[in-house]
Amino acid sequence: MSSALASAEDRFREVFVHLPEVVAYARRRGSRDPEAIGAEALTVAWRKLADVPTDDPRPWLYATARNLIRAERRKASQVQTVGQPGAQVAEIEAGVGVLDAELGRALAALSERDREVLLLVAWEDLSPALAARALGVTQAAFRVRLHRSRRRLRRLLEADATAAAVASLGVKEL
Amino acid sequence: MKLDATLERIRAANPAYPVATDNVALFDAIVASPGDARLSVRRSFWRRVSARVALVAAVVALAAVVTAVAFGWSQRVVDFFSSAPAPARVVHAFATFEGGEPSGVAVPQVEAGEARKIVTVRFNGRLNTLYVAPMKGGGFCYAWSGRGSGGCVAAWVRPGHGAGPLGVDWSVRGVVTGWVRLGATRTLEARFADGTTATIPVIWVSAPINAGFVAYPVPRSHRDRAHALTSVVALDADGRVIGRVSAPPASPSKPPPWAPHRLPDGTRALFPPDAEVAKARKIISFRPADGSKLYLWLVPLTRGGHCFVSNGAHGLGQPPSICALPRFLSPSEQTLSSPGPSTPDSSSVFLGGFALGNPVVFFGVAKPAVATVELRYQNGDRERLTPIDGFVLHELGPAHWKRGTRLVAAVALNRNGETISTERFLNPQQPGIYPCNKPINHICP
Repeated sequence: MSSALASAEDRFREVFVHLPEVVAYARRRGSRDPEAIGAEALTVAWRKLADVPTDDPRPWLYATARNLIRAERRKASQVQTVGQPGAQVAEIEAGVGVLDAELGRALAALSERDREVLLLVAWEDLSPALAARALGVTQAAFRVRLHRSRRRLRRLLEADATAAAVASLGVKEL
Repeated sequence: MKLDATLERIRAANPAYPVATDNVALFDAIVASPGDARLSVRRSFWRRVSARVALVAAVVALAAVVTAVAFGWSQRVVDFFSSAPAPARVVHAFATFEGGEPSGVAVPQVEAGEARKIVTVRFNGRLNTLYVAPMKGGGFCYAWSGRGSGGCVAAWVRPGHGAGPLGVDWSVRGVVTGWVRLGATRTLEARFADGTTATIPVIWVSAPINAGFVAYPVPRSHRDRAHALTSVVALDADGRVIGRVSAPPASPSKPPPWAPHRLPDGTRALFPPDAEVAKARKIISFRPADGSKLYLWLVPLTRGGHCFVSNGAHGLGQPPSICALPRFLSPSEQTLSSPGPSTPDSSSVFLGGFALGNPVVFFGVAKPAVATVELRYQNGDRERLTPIDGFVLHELGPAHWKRGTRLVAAVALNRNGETISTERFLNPQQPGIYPCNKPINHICP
């Protein structure tokens, strides 16, 4: 094998080790076929290997996987036989709901952009710098988004807690 | 990063963690597909910049080649972009090359201007030169000068024509020419009727070709029937057979004992002597959207197993009969037109592929354990098909011709709905696979 091919394969091997993380990312985002999303994302990475950052390929892979999941979801919303619209949100709720139903509801109520900002940090364990790269924004912009998303989520959680407390008192809201 | 209470709460609710799995097969499958050609282009840029370094490297490479030839090489690597450009007549030949592809397949998009002269070797008493050109979207066309062979191999067509890890051309008498995809294959081996084997030298060509080429003169000691070459096999790093192409009958002067028969609906096909043509059953028949008729006939063999005849199996005008013992063909078998029965592959559970052209047909053969075949598309669509007597024949309609909607995998499921195996089709973005209304330069995008 030529050195060019060998070095490309070696480099791709370093990217390929992140396959389980991409599959987990797809699973957390409610993909119907996380393994297929992972395989497809890595195939794209091989085809565009020169574009994949050498320091940490995860932001690039997550961004690719996100696009693939969006495509999957778009079609799912068109083809009723495959799934129902909004299934992704429902699956996020269901996944989180196992441990924390209240949080699941609040996350599902967030916009996709806000949710992604939070999840990239909390679930994908990316630093703000890497998460910003995954979203294609500057670090400063990401930090602002993270702050706002966190605030919105807190408000949703507080509202949910208030509603639960009101319900437990048996008092009707006017 | 220090997380606040909100983020900590989200983290604690993480519903899925990465699970390490053995994905060697997926890795091999991906790197066997066309990679990023820009990496090679960059190399050529740096080569231009440092011409002196390149000169030294060339001298070293030449010395290595001379040494290898002198001592009998079995593997050789040629850097595509370092190779000399092909002469104008060859470029012209590639530009008008139809590559021997079956009718119905889009004319391959050969980058004829990129054709390179790879190697010159002596066989059949004369010098023959191998020229190779990449195809847009992956794959390659190749041609041997003189009486050698040639063809085009798309990066993503499987199984059927251009499928599998290797292809062999037996048309040049006394010489085996062919190609092998860069993937899991590490060695090509010639297997002879007397049980002996020999390693076939491979000339590997770097990206964007990513394939090896062979021109193997069959030794004189193996030209008689008792010692004849019976097959060429591809072996992986562990010596496992991952592809096989069987030789045609040793003596072309004796025609194979197959005879033409007419089936009840008028379909004509060749069958072996023990085919019970009177017991032929048409197990699948339907009209696709274009109004034509697709069918699959099953003809039992007295020795067991059967032959099948289908005009949807691989899209050629004349339907071939394919015989297997028992009713299964290995993905690595390329004996569609071979008269001998194929060896069953006990490890394989399911295989499927396209018949290119119009209509576009998915064809699959399944073992009895397969209860359902699920087709999965790029856009998330899924279609479930039930094999009939182990066969699946299904039209891939226009809704799945466009990029972003194409077939990416066929999954074999058992009666409990559990996945038995997955046949994944890489690179569905490959142009020229599906029909379209507005081709660009004769190629459908």
